[in-house]
Amino acid sequence: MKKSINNSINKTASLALILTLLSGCSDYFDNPLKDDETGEDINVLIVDFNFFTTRMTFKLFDAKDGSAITSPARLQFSGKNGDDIVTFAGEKKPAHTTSQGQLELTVDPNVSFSASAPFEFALNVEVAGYNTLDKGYHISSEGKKTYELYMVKTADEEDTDLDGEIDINDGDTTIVFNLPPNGNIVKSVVAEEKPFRVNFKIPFSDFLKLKDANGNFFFENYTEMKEAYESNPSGFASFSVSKYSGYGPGADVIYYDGMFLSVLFQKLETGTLTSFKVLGREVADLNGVVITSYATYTGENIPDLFGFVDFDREDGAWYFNEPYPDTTIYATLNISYTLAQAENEGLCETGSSIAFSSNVISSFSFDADVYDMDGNLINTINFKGNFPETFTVENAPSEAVKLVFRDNNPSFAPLPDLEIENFCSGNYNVSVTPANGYEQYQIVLKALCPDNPTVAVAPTYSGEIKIKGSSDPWQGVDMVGGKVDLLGKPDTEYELRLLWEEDWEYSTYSTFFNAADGSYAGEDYPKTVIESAYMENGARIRINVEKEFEQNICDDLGW
Amino acid sequence: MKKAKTLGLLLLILCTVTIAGAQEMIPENSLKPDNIGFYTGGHASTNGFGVNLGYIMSKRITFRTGFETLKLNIDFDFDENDVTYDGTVHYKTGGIFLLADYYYTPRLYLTAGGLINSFNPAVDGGAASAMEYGDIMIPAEDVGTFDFDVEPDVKYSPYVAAGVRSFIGKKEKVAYSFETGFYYMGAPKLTIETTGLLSPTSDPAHRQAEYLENQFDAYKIYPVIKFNLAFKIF
Repeated sequence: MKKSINNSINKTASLALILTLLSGCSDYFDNPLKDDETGEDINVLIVDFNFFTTRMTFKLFDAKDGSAITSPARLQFSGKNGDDIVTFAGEKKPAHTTSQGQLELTVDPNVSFSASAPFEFALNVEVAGYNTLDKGYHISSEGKKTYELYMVKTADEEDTDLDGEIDINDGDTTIVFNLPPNGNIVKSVVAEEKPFRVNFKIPFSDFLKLKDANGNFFFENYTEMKEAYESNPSGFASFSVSKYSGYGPGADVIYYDGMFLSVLFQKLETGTLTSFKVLGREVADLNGVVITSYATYTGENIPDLFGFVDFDREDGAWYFNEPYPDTTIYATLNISYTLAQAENEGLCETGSSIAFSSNVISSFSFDADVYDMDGNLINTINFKGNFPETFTVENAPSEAVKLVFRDNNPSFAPLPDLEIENFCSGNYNVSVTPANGYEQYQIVLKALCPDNPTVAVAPTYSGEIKIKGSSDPWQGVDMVGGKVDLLGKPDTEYELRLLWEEDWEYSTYSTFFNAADGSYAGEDYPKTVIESAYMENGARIRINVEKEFEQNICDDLGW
Repeated sequence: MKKAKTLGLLLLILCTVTIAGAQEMIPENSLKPDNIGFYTGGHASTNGFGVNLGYIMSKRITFRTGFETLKLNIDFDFDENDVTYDGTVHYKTGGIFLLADYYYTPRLYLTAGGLINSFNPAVDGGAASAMEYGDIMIPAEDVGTFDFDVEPDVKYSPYVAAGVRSFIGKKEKVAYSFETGFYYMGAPKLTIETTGLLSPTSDPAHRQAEYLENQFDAYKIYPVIKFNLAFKIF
């Protein structure tokens, strides 16, 4: 009997053992790559765009008021490496568009370049209501590049009406239309005098050939024409030009002496003929007559190169007119001109080294306007990185300059001007201190795709932050692998944004934390999971932001 | 918590069986005097192949020690987003064990003991082809490499099993046994190393290893099926 009981116990115990083992293994049959609660695929891999080693930010500004241009803009790249500029989705496009006044692009990582073999491209920007902008670039090193492009609104051009004057020179009688050097004869207030002058000349006898819109000549013969002029010299002919001369200097590319050179270049004036009238009637057909345009430099310091230029988009360079840079001959009424000056020595491919250091761990983005010693703005440079970081400027003029840092970083104390003896050499240090009331944080962003959570994106990308709803400027930050160290005010709500193609992707977080463990105590936001914890023995707080991005971004990326 | 309860319940059962014990279950003549002694042999198990040394102390108690090891390298490749990856699974397990068998019938036994655990599977590899990304190609070296390395949470793993043993041969100098059980190794600890575009996956700031560990934390025990063959040496 006892043996039978023991056998039963043994069988029961063995069965219980097996059941227990099986029940303990029940979770083994759950797919660990599925979320326990939702059953959806879990995120396994986090990827980055770190294969792009050169990032380009193009910013469009109104040349007159400095505001960002938010009208639809079309950017086209050409030149030797124009086709190597791609979106962060790796797409080559015939034209890139944006309505955000800003565009983030990058360079095909298969293309290498250096000071001896720079990355060369031309940029053409078209915005409705603005003059087309053309510019050439030579880049000699990889890294983060920010290009500020100032565009001139056509409405900001000055309409200048000119009455022709008879000019007899060496027996050649011409009508000369003088564009006044002050830039505007309509206004009673005389603007700052420009050190150049543009004239348009037409031989007096050629007025006999001109035709109006009906195909009729203006005069039957020379006598009639001369009497018409003598009876009303100021009303005989008028030339209307719309022009703009507020351009600043900057690095650009010219063709000179058989070479393409990156030089200090300045458009002095651009203009377009808007009307040519004789005796108050519009000239419609030059009928073989040529109009000659002359430029004269009237200032004291004659530039190395001065004259009319044309931009060649294939070469990505400005060509001064040959053989006479100061002369252009037009055979049609489609007259527009660009007058420019440039140095004939190339800029230094690599110049001064500027190190930015601080006693805080933070990303930074400083904009510096570069002035020559005469106070002329010659360039703008953006320094974006993480402390400590050293930048070697490129395309630098070999002269003394002063860097004036813009006060557009609320989290840092304003930076003093930096004077540099020769922008082509030397090492300089900029010590940066945080603004009062700011503390150190680390944001760790992981962007998930709604349709495929298996792969998340933690981008190396340029971003911007600011206090939500504030009038502060957006402050640039440098995100590396989804991580960005930055300064922020405690107990404050922030917005972080990344520009993807034509849209900003916003993430919101706040700096409310539980003091005990640094855990996040701020508000929750849609499609966002935020967690935080102390790091580095409580010196900083890491804020992990897991954000579900718009699916169209993931579609671009192929995920 | 669920696994702790499971383990506790199992120990309870072991105690129950021991106490309910089959004091009268095993006849005195179930084990010949010649069966008592030292045995050595080999074994094959899901935790590796190895050699062992055993001592049959009595009709109820046997002690065993030994080591076992298993190393497998399996090459594989797979395609993901039009990229071909070459990978290798490095399956490594085994350890040094010390076990005590308690026979509650002449042939059936329960085992308890411990193992110095060398469980350490890993998967590594990298892109073998360039990645088509939009209109450009990303070189394979920029796509990067990956190395997922798993280690047990506990190095010294408790072991429980149930098995059956028999002697063969006229003089019964050969013993064989078959047992099934498991090691407790705790939740697997994951170490990730990645390069190239996969780099953030291994960045501690993203806590991806921690996240994946949570997904795999059910795998705290290592199931064992073992076959032993031993010869009496003296």
